[in-house]
Amino acid sequence: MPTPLDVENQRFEFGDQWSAAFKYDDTTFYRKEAIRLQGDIDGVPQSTKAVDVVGLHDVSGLLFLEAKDFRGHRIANKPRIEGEVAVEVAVKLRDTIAALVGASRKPVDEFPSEVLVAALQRGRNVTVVLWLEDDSFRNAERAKQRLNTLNGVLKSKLAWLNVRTFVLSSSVANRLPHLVVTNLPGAGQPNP
Amino acid sequence: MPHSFNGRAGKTTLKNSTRNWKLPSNARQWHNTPDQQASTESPTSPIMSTKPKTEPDAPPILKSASIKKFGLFTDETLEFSPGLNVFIGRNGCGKSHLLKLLYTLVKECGEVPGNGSVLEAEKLENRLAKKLAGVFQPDNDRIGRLVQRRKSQGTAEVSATFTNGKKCGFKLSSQDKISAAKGDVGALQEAAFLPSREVLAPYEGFVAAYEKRELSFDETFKDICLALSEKQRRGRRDVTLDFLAKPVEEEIRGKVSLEGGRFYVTGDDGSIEAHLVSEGWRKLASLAQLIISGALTKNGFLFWDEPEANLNPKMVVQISETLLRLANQGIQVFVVSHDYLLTTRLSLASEYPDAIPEEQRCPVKFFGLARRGSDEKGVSVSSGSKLADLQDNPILAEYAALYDYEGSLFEKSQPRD
Repeated sequence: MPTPLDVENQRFEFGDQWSAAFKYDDTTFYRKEAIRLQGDIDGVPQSTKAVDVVGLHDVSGLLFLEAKDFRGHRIANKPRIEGEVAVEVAVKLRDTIAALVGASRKPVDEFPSEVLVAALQRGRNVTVVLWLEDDSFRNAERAKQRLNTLNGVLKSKLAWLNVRTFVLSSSVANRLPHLVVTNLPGAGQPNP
Repeated sequence: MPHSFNGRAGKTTLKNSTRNWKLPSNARQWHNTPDQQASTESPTSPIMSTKPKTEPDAPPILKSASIKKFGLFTDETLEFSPGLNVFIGRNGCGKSHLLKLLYTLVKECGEVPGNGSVLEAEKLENRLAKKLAGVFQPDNDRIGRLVQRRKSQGTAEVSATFTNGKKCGFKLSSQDKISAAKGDVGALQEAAFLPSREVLAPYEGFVAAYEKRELSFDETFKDICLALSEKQRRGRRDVTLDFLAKPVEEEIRGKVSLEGGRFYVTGDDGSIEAHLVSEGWRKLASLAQLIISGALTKNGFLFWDEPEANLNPKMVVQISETLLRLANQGIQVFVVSHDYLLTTRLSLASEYPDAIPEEQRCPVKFFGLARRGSDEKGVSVSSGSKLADLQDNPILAEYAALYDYEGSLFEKSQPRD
């Protein structure tokens, strides 16, 4: 049975080839434990962040997916689209990986933390995807140019981790295996 | 007497300077129409009026050009921006030909010999024929080869309209016969053509060798060498020239001087022969020299073929800002570019006029040249105030193709079974 996960006005349906697929930022471990790492440094509030989805494909390996839907919020989100969102994803990934290691050292059973940490080992395929929706992506060619630029930023921010990154959108071909992405009702409309 | 900055003998050094340039009082002010002002909140709407507020007696600039059966142009009319005009397109679309054609027109149509105000037809024909031969360099000076190639004989028709309403142009048969009406455009300001290859390095002895036909460069190279050899203005630099030249001089960390037939860049580290500095710097140095010698003046023209060639991205940014500043100061600029960074920055200047520095505000127009389908000869031209307006943007297409290519590699790295 496919696993449907609703994130940012979209439904991500992971096929049976995904042995794990879950909304990590909704897990009890994140919400009750990992998030407790917070406080101020030099007066600046710090918190533990989380990516939206963690998945493990039987063949293609570990996936971290962050979805952003800026449709209807173009002006408010412009600086984030121009690069900040790549930094945001990179920081979320850093915190998520640290938290998975923490979970693997505790009796956490709501997700297979030990298997996921094992999938991070050298030589294993790890993929990071930013799934981005924006009003300006209606023109596929223009969308590809922006997605390409954004992926360049994401790639550089995550060079330390030796992972594959890609920025996808519903306006371009989905490159992930056994995953179907559809808009939920109301997608593309400003939030009330 | 060697040329030297400020008329002083010896070398000068670039003082510590600030980027707080003041906008000269004679900067051309661009005004939005009421409708356009109302739409300035739209992030994608073109803002600039193409009607600058200029003095009625100002020397005319190019308003439009109609080109029929010339080169790849079957029948196109181009309406120009009074500020910055950017031509993009794949190789072999006629961008450089278009640039050279417009240069030929403003170079020859406006110059008025003697005290007359009208250029007699015969004289204009001779001048146009000579310039076309020099700039395009067809075999054996057969300018008829510039007429669009068809099985039968044909005639090209080219006409430029200037902002004073006057026209200037020519008819050219494939048998090399050229005809033109009398030229009554009036006096035009200087036009400078910067080729894609810089000329400071080969400058020494270039013109003499060119005149002896020892060099197979087109006439734009000779013209720019002559323009570069103009003496720099003596005395205190004009505030406008200083305003335009200073950012460029800061980038090359020195001032340009011509001494004993050679160009030098003189900065804090002393004087360096121009041919010993990087090509990117030489291109910027050429621009600085044109500015401070007064070859680029208000209502004058700058044609620049691929300014980005051999420039690093930081210099490309500098070039984009300089082009905008030149246009803001009333110089009509025509640029051919393949560069994503340069064209995107110019497009952003057009998209966000209220958010960029005032001295960079000017109307920008993009022209996309594209080959027609295989069954039709020639090129088609689309235009707009921003890159996204163009029907065919090969630069964007290549970036999209790059995304697709990386996507295909990414997909292969995600095995399904």
